[in-house]
Amino acid sequence: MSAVSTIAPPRPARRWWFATAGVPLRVGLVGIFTIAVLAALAPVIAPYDPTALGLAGGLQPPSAAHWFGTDQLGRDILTRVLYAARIDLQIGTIGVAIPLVMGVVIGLFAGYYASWPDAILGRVIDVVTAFPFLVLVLAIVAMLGPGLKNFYIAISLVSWVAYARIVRGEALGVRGRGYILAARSLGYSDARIVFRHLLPNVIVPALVFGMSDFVLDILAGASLGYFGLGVQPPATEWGVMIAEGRNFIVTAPWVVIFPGIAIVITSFFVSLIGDSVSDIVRRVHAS
Amino acid sequence: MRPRNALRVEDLTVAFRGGHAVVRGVSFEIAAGEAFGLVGESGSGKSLTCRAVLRLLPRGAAASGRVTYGGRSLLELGATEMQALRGSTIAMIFQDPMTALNPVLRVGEAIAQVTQAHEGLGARAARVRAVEMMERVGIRDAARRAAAYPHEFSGGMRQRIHIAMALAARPTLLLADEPTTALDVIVQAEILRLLDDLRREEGMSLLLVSHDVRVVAGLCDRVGVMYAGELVEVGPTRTVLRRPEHPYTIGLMNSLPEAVIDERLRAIPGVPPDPGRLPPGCAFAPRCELAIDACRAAPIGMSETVPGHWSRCIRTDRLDELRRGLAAADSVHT
Repeated sequence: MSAVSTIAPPRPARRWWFATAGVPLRVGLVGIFTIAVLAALAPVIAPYDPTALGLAGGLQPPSAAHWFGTDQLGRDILTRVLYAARIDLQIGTIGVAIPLVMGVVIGLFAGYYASWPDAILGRVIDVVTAFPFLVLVLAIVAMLGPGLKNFYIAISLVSWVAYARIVRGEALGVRGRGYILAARSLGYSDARIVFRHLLPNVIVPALVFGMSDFVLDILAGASLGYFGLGVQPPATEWGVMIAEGRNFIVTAPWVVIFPGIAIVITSFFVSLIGDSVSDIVRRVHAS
Repeated sequence: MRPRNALRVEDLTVAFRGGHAVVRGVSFEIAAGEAFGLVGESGSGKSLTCRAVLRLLPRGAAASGRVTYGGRSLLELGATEMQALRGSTIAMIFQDPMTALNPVLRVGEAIAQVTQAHEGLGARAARVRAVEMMERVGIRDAARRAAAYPHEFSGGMRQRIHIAMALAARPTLLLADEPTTALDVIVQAEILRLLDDLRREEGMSLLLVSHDVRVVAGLCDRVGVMYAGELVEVGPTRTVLRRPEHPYTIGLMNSLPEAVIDERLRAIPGVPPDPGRLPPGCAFAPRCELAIDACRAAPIGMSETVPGHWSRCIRTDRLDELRRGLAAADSVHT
């Protein structure tokens, strides 16, 4: 345990935080955790091979053998939804993590130093946000070539700007607070002030945005998949499954419904987490 | 024994970029272990003088002149050296304990960071030191309270924690910018007493900035009175407050509620001059009852009226007229 506990007896307020969290937050966390576990265990729990063709013929409706039915190539949809979850969670996580770190670091320093670093960042933000998000991502992927890695590069190049803008705005407000001046008066280095004093006070709105960005990234991945620029077959992801099944939406709706539901449920849980976090922050700010 | 140094401020001027000087030619000295007070109303430049010593001026403000501490010229020091000095040799406490503490840091951690940064203490040792510091500044049950966040403390307790942070790396000079202004009167007295005790125990020098003459009176050996960016009077606290040698100081003393028993509170007529439109002569002349043509013609220099007691006034022979009714102000020095 940390050094504090050797001095301080446990305080009642330091119960396991999960027990004190609100219901929506707990539901969201448990939900995402469950999806992650299902995705991780896909090879174990999936009833079929995700690439096995012609199982019981194509476009079979849900049945005891194929709970979610089969797609146009006769692949088991439940199996593919489970495998696709691995890629979708990866898209959401990487698509948030890299831009988040980039944007937060850049936004922090721009906001802390203000003056010319901030002016430069402001121009860059203007330029990047002048293009619609998807158009820019598409253009970059089209330039670099299809595939997940290039998709991540494109997402990182485009969406760090959103994080930088959020954090910069917060940092500009916080840099004038007394405790930042007090930190400077104590002879702390800029790095220490920025990362240990500024960061914890400005990070939360960026994290909350990250939750909705998670969903946006999955949708962006789906859009790219639709154009054949995202995940490359035989791997798949929910958006691609929907795109591939769009021609059968009337005759065999299960092909698109189940991956659609997967997206909705995942977004729901992620949004619950995001909303709860921003609620907590608002309450703390109000008190 | 730790080195004992004097702070010497010579001809310090602080000006905003493209604007006017808001601190003009301020000079004073604080001997090792001495407590020096700077008094003046808001806008007189006392806080900027204080911040200029640590080179923590607001954006766009620049200091010129000479500030030396222990033989080192602070205004010329490199950024890294200056940073090393802050907190370890010269520390500062601020007016508002509500904002001076980082809301997301546990207070024990906040204090521990100071010694970790300056003395390279390990996390565990730094935390032990932090709890010791909290005890020293009078926080009961310090070991348990170290894990609390600033919002769990009252204003007075937060100011104690702020003081503990400032003193954690054992500075030899403490700058206190209105340390008790945001606190209620009872807590104010406790914090001032604490500051005084700590200063004596540590043999620290203290620069105390306050708009409140009474705060300075109780704590400081010597006091300087600032008006419109200038020092107008400097001397031993006792004589400056009991027998002021400048009309502005007399006005300041007269405006204390304690000074006046049987009549209305006497405010100084008029307002301080705009730093952009200073009168050519004495800055106080437009508000001074004793002002004559010579006062308005050219700036007035400092002159030593009594040994060790300096005043920026050429009408000191007539000050007795203004000092009437000031006798009651004796109650201030206690």
